[in-house]
Amino acid sequence: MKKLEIGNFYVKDIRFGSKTSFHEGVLTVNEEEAIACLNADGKLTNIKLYIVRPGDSTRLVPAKAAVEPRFRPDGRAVFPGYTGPVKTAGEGIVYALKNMSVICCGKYGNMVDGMVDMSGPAAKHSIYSQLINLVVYAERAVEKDLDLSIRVEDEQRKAAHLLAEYVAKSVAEQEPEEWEQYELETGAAEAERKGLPRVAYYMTIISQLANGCNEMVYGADCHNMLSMYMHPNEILDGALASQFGLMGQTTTAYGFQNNPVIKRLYKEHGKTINFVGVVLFPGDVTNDMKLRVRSISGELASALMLDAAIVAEWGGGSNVDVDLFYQLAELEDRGIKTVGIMSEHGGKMMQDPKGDAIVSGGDTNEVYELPPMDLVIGDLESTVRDYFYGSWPVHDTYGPSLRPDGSLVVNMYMMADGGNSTGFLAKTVKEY
Amino acid sequence: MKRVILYINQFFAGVGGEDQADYEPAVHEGPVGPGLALQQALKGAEITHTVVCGDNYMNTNQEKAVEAIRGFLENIEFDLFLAGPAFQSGRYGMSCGAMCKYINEFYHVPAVTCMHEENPGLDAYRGNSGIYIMKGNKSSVKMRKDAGQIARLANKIIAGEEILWADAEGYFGHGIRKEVFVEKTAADRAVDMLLTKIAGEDYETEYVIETHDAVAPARAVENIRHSKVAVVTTGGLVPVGNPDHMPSGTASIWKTYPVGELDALRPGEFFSVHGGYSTNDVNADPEVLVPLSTIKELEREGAFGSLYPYLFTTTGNLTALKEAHRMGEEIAQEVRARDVDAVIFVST
Repeated sequence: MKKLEIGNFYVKDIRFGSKTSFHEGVLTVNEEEAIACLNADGKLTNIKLYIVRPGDSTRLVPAKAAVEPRFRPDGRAVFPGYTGPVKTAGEGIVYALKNMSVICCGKYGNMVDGMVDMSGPAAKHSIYSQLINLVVYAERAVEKDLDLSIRVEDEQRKAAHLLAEYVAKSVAEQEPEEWEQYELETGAAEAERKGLPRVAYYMTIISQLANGCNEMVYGADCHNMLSMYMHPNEILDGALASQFGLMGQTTTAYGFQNNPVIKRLYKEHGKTINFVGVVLFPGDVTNDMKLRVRSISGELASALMLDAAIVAEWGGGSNVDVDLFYQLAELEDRGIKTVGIMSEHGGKMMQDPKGDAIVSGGDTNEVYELPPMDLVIGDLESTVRDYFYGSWPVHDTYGPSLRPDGSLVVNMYMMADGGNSTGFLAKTVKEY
Repeated sequence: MKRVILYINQFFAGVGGEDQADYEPAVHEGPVGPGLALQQALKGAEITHTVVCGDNYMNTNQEKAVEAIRGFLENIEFDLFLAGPAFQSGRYGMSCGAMCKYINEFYHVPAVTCMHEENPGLDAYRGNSGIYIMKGNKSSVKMRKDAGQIARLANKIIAGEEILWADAEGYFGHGIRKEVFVEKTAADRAVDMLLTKIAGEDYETEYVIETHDAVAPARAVENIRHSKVAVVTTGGLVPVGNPDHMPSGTASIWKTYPVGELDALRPGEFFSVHGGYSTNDVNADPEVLVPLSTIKELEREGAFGSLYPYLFTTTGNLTALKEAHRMGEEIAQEVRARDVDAVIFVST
């Protein structure tokens, strides 16, 4: 039996102080110690920590990752294969600091990066605007490949994961406020007795970029990976991490750790469905790879004897559109009922009418005007100097994204998970 | 009190039926015909004038009709324009659509009409975002209902209320998609939709798949040996340094760069700013994206007439369809103007 127990500690506030500790909902962080821990190998420079809260006039850009702080009492790494040795995830006890995340920012935008506004009109478009965030700003000691639109750049992101593990150690000796329990077997027995439909969750894995830029399974880059089965507990428990940034069509460590579709499917498990697990489908580049992924995903579905599946798309637009509709069509062709979750980007580049049940989380192409903020953590200039999906140095209609007063005109790609493919937000798209 | 102008045809004005379809435009003070029911349903607004025109006249002498109506409206101030309802009557629907479009574009006031989904006026005018075409019935037996539809939306406009999406308000969508917040998260909506689909019950997809315009492959070039050939790429290839700030995604611009004097595209001179694929191979050798040296060799061998000496380039990554259509049209016009006979389209 594979059972995961998550012990939750609710964070009401974060402060800096002399000793890193957690007491009555307040997380105190010793800055020096925290910085030493996240930069053990000296790859970062100009490191500074910030605490930002919902409602602050603060903008994080470029934002590169968000991680929920967690701690494993048995000493295993929170992200096996990434922040420590490879060990099977998804079982045993893990402690989580809720209502917060650790976000890393840098000076230079990588194209997959995004932005978090802690207030203003963009705040409702990102789950990360609604959390208390411990932010680490850092530059790479050796900056390189800055002329590339997407570069291998893991230093800040790794630091966020390490920082998250570091602060979570503060709850080591304490009793969690509540427990979440995840275990498939009991519900499966109940579901089988009732003859409930077998359901899986199909998740995109970003695999189309160069080695070092994709999502990771147990710390391994998913470049050229094929479809594979995972236990939902592994996803909730750090088996996946991302080298992708915080743009509008991304999910990141926090999104995996708190995936709302997995949580809801667990709620239904044994009651209305038989939740049998997760299939990762990589969104690769060539059609041949896409067809391999499609075929293997289909075979997995048949082997799992699925009746239905939810298929979630993220990780870009046009390219992964093909994979979404390949997966939906392949499953429907095998008699498996599907629902897709995706964001639009001024339409879809490829679509198949077999995908006849789709939830639209948002439209990353929608343009928003955002006011200046009192504090920018990162570099506001990066929005027009560096490459982003959501901002531009020139535009026929809108002009440059950054205006002299610090206000921005950007599209929803800019906001961290603003396309809502992970499913956190109560947002959709309607025809007017 | 807001002021409203109503447009109806000769039949509903009581002038006459088919025999009076050539009736020239006329204006009446106050509401006429369906305007009486409309006036009753309107809140805080008054139909000050009713314009009447025969359906044939409007459809065959549109310029003259519009000019006459502009004359009527010259010194009249109004806040809202209503037309119909037109039901399934094709010519009436076209007239209502044409008048709504003209009034909206010329006077910048919103216009509301109503027709049945099979009315040809719908497809002709629904794309104009200043016109609301309410979903209407087939025949005028349902006059009260359809007039009520017009009045309901008109009242919201008059009151300055936010106009919601098409299904919520009962108008035919303009093809504009906008983000809105609803009650449930996307994750919960997805699971709910799946449970409904499994149960075999009705569910409503949030994104309706419409098949795109299929692009028919062009016919083979008849005389390639005498053709001028241009190269177009969506691979984001630009001179190193990206002098025109070509975006790496959601591009709205395309550029041309001279390649006529070059014998090859070399690393360090050209690179790709495309953000949707790994550009390492292209940056190491731009010829894997645009094989200029091979094209030049074929040109020397006489395999085709001549190479147009500029490379057309943009970034085909997350481009909105509308922008892609526009840029495609612009590039097509440009190559045509330069007497280019054929294009090699290099994608990624």
